[in-house]
Amino acid sequence: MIHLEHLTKEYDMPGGKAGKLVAANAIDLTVPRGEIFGLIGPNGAGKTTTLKMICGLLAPTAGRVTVHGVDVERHPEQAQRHLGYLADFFSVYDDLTVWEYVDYFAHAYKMAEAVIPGRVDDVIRIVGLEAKRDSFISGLSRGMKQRLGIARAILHSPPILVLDEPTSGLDPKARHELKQLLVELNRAGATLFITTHILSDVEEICTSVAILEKGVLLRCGPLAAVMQEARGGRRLRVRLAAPGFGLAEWLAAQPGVTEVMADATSAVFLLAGDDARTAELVGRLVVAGAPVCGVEDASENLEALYSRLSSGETM
Amino acid sequence: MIPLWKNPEFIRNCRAQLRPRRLALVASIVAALSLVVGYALSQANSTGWGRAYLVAVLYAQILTLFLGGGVACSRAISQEREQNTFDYQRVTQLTSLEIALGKLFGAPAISYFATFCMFPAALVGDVAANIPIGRLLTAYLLIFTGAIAFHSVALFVSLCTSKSAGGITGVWGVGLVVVFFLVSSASEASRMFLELGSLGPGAAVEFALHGSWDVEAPTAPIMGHAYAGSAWTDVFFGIPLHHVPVLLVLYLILTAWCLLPLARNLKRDPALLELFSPAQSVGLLAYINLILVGFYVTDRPAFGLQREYGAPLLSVTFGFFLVANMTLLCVLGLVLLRNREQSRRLAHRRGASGFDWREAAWPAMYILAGAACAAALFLARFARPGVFKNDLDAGFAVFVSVLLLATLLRDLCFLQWMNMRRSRRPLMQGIILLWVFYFCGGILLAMARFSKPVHTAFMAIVSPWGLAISGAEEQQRWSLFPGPWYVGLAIQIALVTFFAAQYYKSMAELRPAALPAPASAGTAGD
Repeated sequence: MIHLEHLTKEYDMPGGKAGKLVAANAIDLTVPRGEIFGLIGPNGAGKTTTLKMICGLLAPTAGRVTVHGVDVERHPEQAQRHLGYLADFFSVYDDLTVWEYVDYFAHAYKMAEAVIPGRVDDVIRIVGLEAKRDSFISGLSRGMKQRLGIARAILHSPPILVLDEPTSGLDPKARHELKQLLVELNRAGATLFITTHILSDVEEICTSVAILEKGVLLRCGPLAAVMQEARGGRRLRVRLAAPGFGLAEWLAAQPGVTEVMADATSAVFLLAGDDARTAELVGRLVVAGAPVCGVEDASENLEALYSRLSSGETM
Repeated sequence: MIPLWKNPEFIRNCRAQLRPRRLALVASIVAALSLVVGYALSQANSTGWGRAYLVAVLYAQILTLFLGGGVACSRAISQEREQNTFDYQRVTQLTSLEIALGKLFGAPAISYFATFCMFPAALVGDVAANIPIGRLLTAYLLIFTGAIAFHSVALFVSLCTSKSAGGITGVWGVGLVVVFFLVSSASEASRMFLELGSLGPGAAVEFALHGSWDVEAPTAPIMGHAYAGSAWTDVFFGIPLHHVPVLLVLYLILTAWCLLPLARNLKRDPALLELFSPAQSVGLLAYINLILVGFYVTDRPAFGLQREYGAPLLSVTFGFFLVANMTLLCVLGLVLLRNREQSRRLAHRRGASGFDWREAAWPAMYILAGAACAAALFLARFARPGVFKNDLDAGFAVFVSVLLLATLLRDLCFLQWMNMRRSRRPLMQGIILLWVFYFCGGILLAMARFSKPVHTAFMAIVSPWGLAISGAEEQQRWSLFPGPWYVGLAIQIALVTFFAAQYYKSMAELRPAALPAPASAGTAGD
């Protein structure tokens, strides 16, 4: 669906300093159909720049973006037909009503005249703004304006939604509703490309993730795989019913087991391998006479992973 | 292409501006003002009040349309950039031209409405003054076509203005153009060197009051007075034409030239703005030259510079076209200059293969092409025996043209190099430095005027622009002592080479370096 090929964007360093600021450093990336793809990174990592290049709003210094097989720079309008875009700032025409705003974009996307009235009403309903249909946008709350932005982005039923920080600045209720809406849109067939620095949102709704820092793609892939790859295996916790087994020594002697931290009745360790390898290890532990009463996943969350991978930049 | 009445951008502007309460307010204000002014005029002058009233209403309409609409258009794009709403328009299926047309007719919607509200008052004035309705309608045709041309200029200004300074710069730009239009309406200044009537909207008022459809070719001046002939006759390549259709065509072509960069750039990355392609720039230069050459007076002296009437002098005509074309080439050169972002993309595209000398001396190739085009038009029109009294040495004319062209290229190559500096407004810094150079040079030149050799050498090297309007004395000096002038030319060419080399060096720095390779890349969902 979205394919970035050696995508590069360079700027001058701010303040006239020597050197260059690389917002995207030869990024190669493919986002397949049906994903909720989260691009994460600290402020200034190049997320918004990358996203704007995908939408054809910024021209790359080098490389290219294809959306649905269409080169964005060569045929921007053709590519933009497949895209719905939401920026990270609220920018709406305050002097229009909600209905007029959505109707304007329906015509601007050149939808068939006959379907516009129905679709405008549908979209206003989907984002829950029916009660505000004839209200001026200037009177809407921040959350409502964000939903109006989503309405505009999904209006022409694009197969790809590109959303820049869609949940930032919203209150918890509005954030929750918006996330639900995004998941519903994904279930309805849309591919979502989201940039955010709220990692819990990514963990909650994204199926794939990429970590970007200083324009460099540090990790990319399905969420679970990225985390596993970053860890070099899966982190497990084994609990024993009683002390006295010598768990730390036994685990340290097993192949593929590293980073063992143990006390008398439990141990957390990293195991290189898949589910079968886990089952085999637990089986051998039981055979060795350990009174195993529990094995559980002790994975670090995305935030911890990000902190470990990145160079300490704050999100 | 979406028809205008279905253009979403046009409809959005109309919806936002033409709310019923606002319309009622504007209509009430216009009605009250029309009634009061009409009553006051009828009381002050019971016989000729209709004519005065019509003039007042027409000028009020011109001001409302040109000033009100112009300001709205000059902010139409820059304001959207400021409010961050423009990106959403850029990702829609509307083409740049459709967005431009929507803004061109939509942004001044309230000004159009106020103008329409004044129609009844104009009609009352027209009937009271006993003026044929056809003349009034023709005047309105000129006013509205002129307004569209003017609004397209304002929209063009809005495209060029930056995000932060958009509003202020836009209003200034429009203010200047308004002054130009009003001044050109009020006077017959253009008749000094062109057989072309006034270009401003005031011509429409004039036509409503005194217009005629007679086309009368101008005759030679008698006893030192201006030529006789109809005030509504223009002469294009010797063919008498009525001023109204000429003005309409000029307005429409101006609109087209302003819409062209809008259609090219509205949806483009603002950092890569390219108002005209090099070929279009040369085309614009050729068009302006065609207008100047076509309408230039040939049967009387231009500017009233000559003491005696008779055949006009070739040197005056040459000076006029040299100054006009150097100015045009300078503007087009500035338009073609590349910024760092454009140069960086070019550097990445070329990669290790580098650039050739044509890239380094940018935009010299197109300036030379434009100059060749202008020279060809000039020669085709005027280099015929009997058109002018030939008081110009051909060798001098060619040399001066080459020297001034080299000087212009020197300045443009300097600005191109400066435009590669890392600062917020590098081009502005370059222009300021150039201005300081010319200011100091001008003072030193004035100080050196008592020593002919020093003055000549200084002029040839620093600022030979005075040669464009040089007279016989300068020609004589050139033929007697050509040495310093040739040295001056050689120095200009050396400086062009130097600045081109500096630009080349700056471009080389922007080539892709060995960037650290990305640590990981891949496919989501694998």
